[in-house]
Amino acid sequence: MGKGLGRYLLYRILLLIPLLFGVSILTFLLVRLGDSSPAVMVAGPTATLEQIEDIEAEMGLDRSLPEQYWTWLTNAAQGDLGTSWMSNRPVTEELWEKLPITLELIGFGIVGAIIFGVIIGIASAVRQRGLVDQVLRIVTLAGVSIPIFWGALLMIAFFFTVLGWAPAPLGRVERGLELPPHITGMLVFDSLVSGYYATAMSALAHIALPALTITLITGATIAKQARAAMVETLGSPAVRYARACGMSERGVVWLAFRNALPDLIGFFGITFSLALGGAAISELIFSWGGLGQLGLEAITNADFAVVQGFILVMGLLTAAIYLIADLLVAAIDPRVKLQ
Amino acid sequence: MSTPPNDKAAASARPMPDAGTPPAHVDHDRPGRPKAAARGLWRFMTSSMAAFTGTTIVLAFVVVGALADVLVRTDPLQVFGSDLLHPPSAEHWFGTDGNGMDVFARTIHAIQIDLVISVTAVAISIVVGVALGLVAGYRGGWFEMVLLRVMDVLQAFPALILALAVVAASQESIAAVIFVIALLDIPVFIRMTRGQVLSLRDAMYVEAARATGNKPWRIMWRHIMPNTLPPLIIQTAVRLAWSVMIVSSLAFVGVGIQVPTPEWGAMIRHGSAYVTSGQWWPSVFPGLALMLLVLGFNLLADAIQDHLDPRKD
Amino acid sequence: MALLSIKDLRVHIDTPNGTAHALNGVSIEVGEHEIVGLIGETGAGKSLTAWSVLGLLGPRARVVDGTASFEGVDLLTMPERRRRRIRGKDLAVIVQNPRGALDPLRSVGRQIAMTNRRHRGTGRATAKQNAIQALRDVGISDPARRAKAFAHQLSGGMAQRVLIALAMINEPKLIIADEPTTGLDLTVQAQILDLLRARVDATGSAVLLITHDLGVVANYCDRVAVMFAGRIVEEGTVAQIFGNPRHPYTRSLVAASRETLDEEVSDEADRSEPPNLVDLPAGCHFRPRCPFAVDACATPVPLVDVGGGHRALCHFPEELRKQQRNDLDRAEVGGGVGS
Repeated sequence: MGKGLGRYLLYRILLLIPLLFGVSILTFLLVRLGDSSPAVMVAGPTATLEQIEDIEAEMGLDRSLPEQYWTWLTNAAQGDLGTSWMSNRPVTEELWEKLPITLELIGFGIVGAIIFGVIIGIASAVRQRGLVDQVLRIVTLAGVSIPIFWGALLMIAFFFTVLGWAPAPLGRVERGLELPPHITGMLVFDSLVSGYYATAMSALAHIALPALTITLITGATIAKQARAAMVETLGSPAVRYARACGMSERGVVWLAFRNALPDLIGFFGITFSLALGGAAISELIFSWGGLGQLGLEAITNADFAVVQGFILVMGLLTAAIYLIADLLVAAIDPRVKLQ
Repeated sequence: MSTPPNDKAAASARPMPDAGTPPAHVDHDRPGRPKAAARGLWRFMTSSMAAFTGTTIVLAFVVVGALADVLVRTDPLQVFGSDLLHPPSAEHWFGTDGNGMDVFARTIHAIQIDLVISVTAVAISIVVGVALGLVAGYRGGWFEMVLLRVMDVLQAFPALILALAVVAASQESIAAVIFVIALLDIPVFIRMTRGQVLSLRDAMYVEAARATGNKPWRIMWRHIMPNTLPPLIIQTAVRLAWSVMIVSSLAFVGVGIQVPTPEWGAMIRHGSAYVTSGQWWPSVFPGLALMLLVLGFNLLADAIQDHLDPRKD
Repeated sequence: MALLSIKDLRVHIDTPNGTAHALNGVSIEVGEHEIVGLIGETGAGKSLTAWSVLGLLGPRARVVDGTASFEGVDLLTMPERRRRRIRGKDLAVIVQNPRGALDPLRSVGRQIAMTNRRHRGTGRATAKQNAIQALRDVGISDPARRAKAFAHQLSGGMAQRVLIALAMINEPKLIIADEPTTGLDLTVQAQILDLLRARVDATGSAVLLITHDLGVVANYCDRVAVMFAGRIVEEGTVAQIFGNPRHPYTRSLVAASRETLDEEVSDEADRSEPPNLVDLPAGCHFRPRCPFAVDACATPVPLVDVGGGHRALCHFPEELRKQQRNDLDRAEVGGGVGS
């Protein structure tokens, strides 16, 4: 089994190579095919035509597209994604700094979403067409239909403005608190490990609302999917046969859940990609200061180097999650084999 | 006395396997028979609570959207200079926003732009996606290979972020929004159609049609297309819900449609600045409308699925 | 007293078109060490009878009347908790499509061992040994290695052997075999049935064998019950049913199995669409397809004992015998003239 899994991993990574090429080409084209020239942005509003042309030459924009792509790709492979014209810092450095901030938020959000979603999905499927199911289905469908940005605003309006339970939606921690030394870049984790408990509590209070927003919206999607998968396996011949062999109802639900798991894990991958988009918007609303906010602000400000880097990281993250999901499925499902 | 196990006995004791007959054709709701279509719609609406609610919501939005200019006399762009951020009142049902514009008029008028963009984009993606899916599934070969790889790459990005980048990079905002939504929807319809074609391609009745010398396009149109219809209808509702969501998400981030154009996402973006100070109405009402329309499409998709699914349990 | 005694079992199923009268007073007895065949076309209610007895009807089907006493206790009214302790222990099941019935994510050895532990409270190690022995008993070579296999790695015949091993592990008093050979190759069918027969002879279990294959019944059963539209239309020993069928439906089955298709039988076959269970004809349900039907057939049908425990649900059980004699005469005459 272990050896087979190793080979499967290798096979999947090989499959990833053409995908990554595609991702890099698309990332490159997305920005270069736009109407506005990056050089105009860099040069600023007072620049003359000659100045702009100079900058274009300097940035290599006067060369052919394949040439530009090759330059960009070789630089990117060496970790050089250019410089942000807004902050004047290397893009790689900025991305690297913001990545853990976003991962922490998504981590809290999606773990919650999986727990809630799976529990609701199972409860709904087990009592199929009963009252509990009807209520949960309506709640789930409403959750799926709420746009994440509006959901986040409602949360702020309710928990901050009306109730005053949550801190103001401005960043990750209360200003003035002492910050822990940088270990992972994830504030809650770093504070706890370093013993900065006050900071940790504040960071937890700050992450609650944005994470809950992600949880509610992606959790609803997961619940919908979990219910569908469980309904399918609960009605399968395997469950019927297990009952005929005297398996208890709890055993049957566990059996159905295990058999729904390969499908569900595959779906968690897709949900993660959904959460990446949602988290970016959530960051914007809560001034979270992570990758998402960086990327979205770069998009609205035409900071092309950052946009490219941001999109590339998003593509890589998604590909990595799909890979992990595939490997998990391969680990629990003996039917997955090297073709 | 004992008879050996015998094929004929088995065959006569059970009905013929029905591999040769096409799976349930959708024979109602055909164009050219409006009465039958209306009756089919009514039967569907009354089939479940979800079907009724979903259909009612979507129809209401379509009607109100189409008649917005007649129903709501207030100009969505008119500025009531002295009435900035006026709470809901008899004069301004949903209050006024930070620019002093009537939130109710804007919310109602926004239906048009959101629906038109979504419907156009989904229509384009259906035409392109189904055509490509049919060809890919039926022909296979390198065409299918390339298509699948390209779709893999497209779907390797979070859809919302890809859409943001594309729309931000271009200047024609509405056209770009339609283009990017269609682009993201096309793979869904390609995969769906291709899957259906693959499962039907070797079905006996398609085989028979081929054997009697039918041309490929004719086989596709007459024999394969009708069977892809039920999943297509369900997907259309799902994608419409998603498209409306993306249109307003883009506007919320600040790309694509901009204030003062009445659009829900843009309105929520503009109103979000006042939420923490307690002026909730400029962002809550458009969001409510947005959620209701998305919910309508989602209910519709669920209900159609239940309605078309022959095994109801 | 019979081991299993089903009396006047009536089951209704809710369908979009109305209530289907799926079982309309089924009575069957299975004695100890006896193999009873239950035969009929698809939709006759054979499997439904079995699953009613097991207490595992789907959500839309319900028992409206009747009893099914197993060792003197009614299975239909007993609490599910108690029924669960009987299923898989004293009353085991073998189903069709064994690969779909097994848990795809657990090795077959583990599944057998779990059933053993559940009902017999066997220890982990003993159960494992028992499972391997059970696999050996059903003629699987290298059982210790095969015990580690998963369902998808087995052929259909091999999987059915596993199901027999699973049914046998707790030494049941009765095995319900629901079309155990449907979908298997003819040679494999014979092997599986020979194996089932051998195991039953060795352990003394009784079997209710559900099939639509008359050949199977003739070769492996002691007694036969023929089902049509939710009723037993004829029952008797194999010799009685094959040598002297008294119900027109049985006659057509027997004739078809011998390929002596005469005019009336092929007429019947032409009209052999399954009966509409929502709207069954009054009196004899076979009337619309019966070549001998007369007006009197629309009145309630008696179950007539024609001697030696041979019973037929027909107004005219004697007519068929006369008819048959005529056929024989005609065949002799016709044979002389025609060919």
